[in-house]
Amino acid sequence: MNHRITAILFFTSALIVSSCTREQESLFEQPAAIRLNHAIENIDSTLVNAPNGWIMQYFATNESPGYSLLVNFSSTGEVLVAAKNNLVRNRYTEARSVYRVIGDYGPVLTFDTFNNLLHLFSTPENPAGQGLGGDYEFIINTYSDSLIQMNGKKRGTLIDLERIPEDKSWADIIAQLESMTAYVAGSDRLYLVSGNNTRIIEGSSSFVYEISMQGSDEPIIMPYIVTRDGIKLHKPIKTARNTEVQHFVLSPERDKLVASSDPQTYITGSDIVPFITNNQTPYEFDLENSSSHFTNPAFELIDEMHSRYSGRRDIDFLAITYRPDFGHSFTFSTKPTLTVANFRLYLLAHNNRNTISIDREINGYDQNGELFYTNVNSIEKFWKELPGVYELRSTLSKNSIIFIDIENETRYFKLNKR
Amino acid sequence: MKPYKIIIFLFAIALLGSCSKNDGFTDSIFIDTEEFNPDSPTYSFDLWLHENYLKPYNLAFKYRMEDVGSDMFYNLVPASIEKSKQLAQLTKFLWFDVYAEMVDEEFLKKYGPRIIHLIGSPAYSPNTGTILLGTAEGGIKITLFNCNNLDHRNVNMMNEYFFKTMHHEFAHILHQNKMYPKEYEQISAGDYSPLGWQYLSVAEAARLGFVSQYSACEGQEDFVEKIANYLLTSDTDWNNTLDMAGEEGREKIFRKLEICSNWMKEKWGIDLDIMRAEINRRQLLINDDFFDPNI
Repeated sequence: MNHRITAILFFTSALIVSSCTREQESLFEQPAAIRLNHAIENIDSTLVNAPNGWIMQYFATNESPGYSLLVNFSSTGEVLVAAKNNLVRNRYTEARSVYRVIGDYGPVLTFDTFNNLLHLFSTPENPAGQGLGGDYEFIINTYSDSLIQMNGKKRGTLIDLERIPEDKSWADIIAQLESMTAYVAGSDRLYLVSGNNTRIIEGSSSFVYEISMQGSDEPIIMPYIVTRDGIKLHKPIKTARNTEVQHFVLSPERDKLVASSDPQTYITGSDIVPFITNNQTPYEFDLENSSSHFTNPAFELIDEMHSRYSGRRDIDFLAITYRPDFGHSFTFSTKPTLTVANFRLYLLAHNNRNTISIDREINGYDQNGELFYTNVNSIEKFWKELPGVYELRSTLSKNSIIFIDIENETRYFKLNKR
Repeated sequence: MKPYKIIIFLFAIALLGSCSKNDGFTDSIFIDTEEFNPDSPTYSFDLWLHENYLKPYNLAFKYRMEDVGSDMFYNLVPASIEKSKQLAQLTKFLWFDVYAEMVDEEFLKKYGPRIIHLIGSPAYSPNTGTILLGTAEGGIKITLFNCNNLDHRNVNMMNEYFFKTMHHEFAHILHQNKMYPKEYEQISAGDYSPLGWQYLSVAEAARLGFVSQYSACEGQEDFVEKIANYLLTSDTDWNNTLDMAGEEGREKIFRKLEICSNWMKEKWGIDLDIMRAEINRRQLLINDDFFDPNI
């Protein structure tokens, strides 16, 4: 019996020794739950310690346009969100709600009460049950004082928070983004040039590029978001030069977007002269940014129309337009009584790449044009000022085009896409 | 006890103790998120919920969405704070206080849910095209959807989307505690259609003896729909349903309602007609001034 007891005690001792001493070396100094709690605290303080808040670069899905939301987190748990975009009819809008950083799939930033701006992207309406398909809970992947990178918890969409500098107000940021949008987002076809390789980009105005690939029928669908210095693609893409590009900066001339990671890769537009001669979209005269050669007769025309028709046919806008049955014309539209009158122009490409001639056909007006022309003297004054030879300058988007007289650079006018 | 048994016993004690020395439990590693912060924008509301739901009913009124507590199958968004405040006050006035008055305060303490979870959007089912108005899980938790569309000026809408759901789900809790007579389900046996109820029109459902389309889903749903609809449908709408039902359908509705009334009276001491009148009286008191601006 004593031998049996000894044997039992021996084996049991061996078990105790093995069970309590074989601790596996941990890769981490602290247990996962404690590390998670520390991460939550650090992220919360990082969010709050940005006095001007953050720009949330929001993509609802991997194929949806990017939207900039301005967000400011308070230590009280409140969050203020602001935006000015087509989803809020381009009006600056603010919405308050609450937020939390919770432990879920790692640290998660959750906006857990309804926010009129943020939850626009995830409200399951239009179509019912789906909506825009966005997230409002975000798994935080990396964080620093300047950048927080997250994934939507349900969709996995990449979403970044970029810290807003303390010397920039939200009004400054919105103005910068709007200005940059006007420079880079337009209806014109764009080209992605990488070394000797060129790919066609469509979809600039919808903020979702369709990039045609050589040897492939299917274009890459790549949404982008406008940043303060250019654009950022939703995800990096590989170029023909075998580089990865995602962030593009607008050139000082504002005519191309250059990849920050590869200066030999850039996005550019078509040549301006063929664009304007083939264009059928009305371009309105910008009388605040044109020389007096054009603004003086324009204002005279506006005043004369007002007095001649006692406010019933005030000038609504002056523009250069194109109609297939009439060709190019100087056009004006009136309000509150709507009338449109056309006065024919000829736009001819010049030998020089960026140069165009404008001429006119005397008495080349339509029926309304003839009626107004015989009653309002200053129509002739403005119309006859337009012919000349001009150098054209435009931004990448071609939302604005400046015509500069090649013989007198102080004589110029600006057109904005209407 | 023989010496070797003593040795083994002491050894066993040592064995039990040997592995617990390093555990050294201290405070919880989890952050307590339930503490109220006086600076929080929701402080007064959180305090009100604590005083009006948690303390008296041990009920967590969750207006901050917890997706782990919802169904990830659906695309949902949280309720707004403003609508949550309104719904919290309405729920207390039109549901909890009614039972407290009709029976006693202990009733909902004992049988009431432990969690009410608010969701802002409807829950659309992509497979059936239907909208889920609410769910109840084992008598513990009631989830209410579509809270962001709460319109306190529209009693019919409130009843349809919220209070019918509450009474519907609570009736489930009650019959899960005390089963209703089996004869109830015999009245419409053969007419239940778990997968096809949504294709019935209201009139077709009425002619089969159901007071709503969803009643035709199955017996238990029929039973709780009968109670919820009777309590919350206006006289005009109730009579419309009876008119649509025709003679045969009307007779089935009356038979089933009688079973419901007797069951509520006998098992729970609640007179359905008196409760219906009390709810109606309270609903007439809901207006813009009803809500406490300090919450």
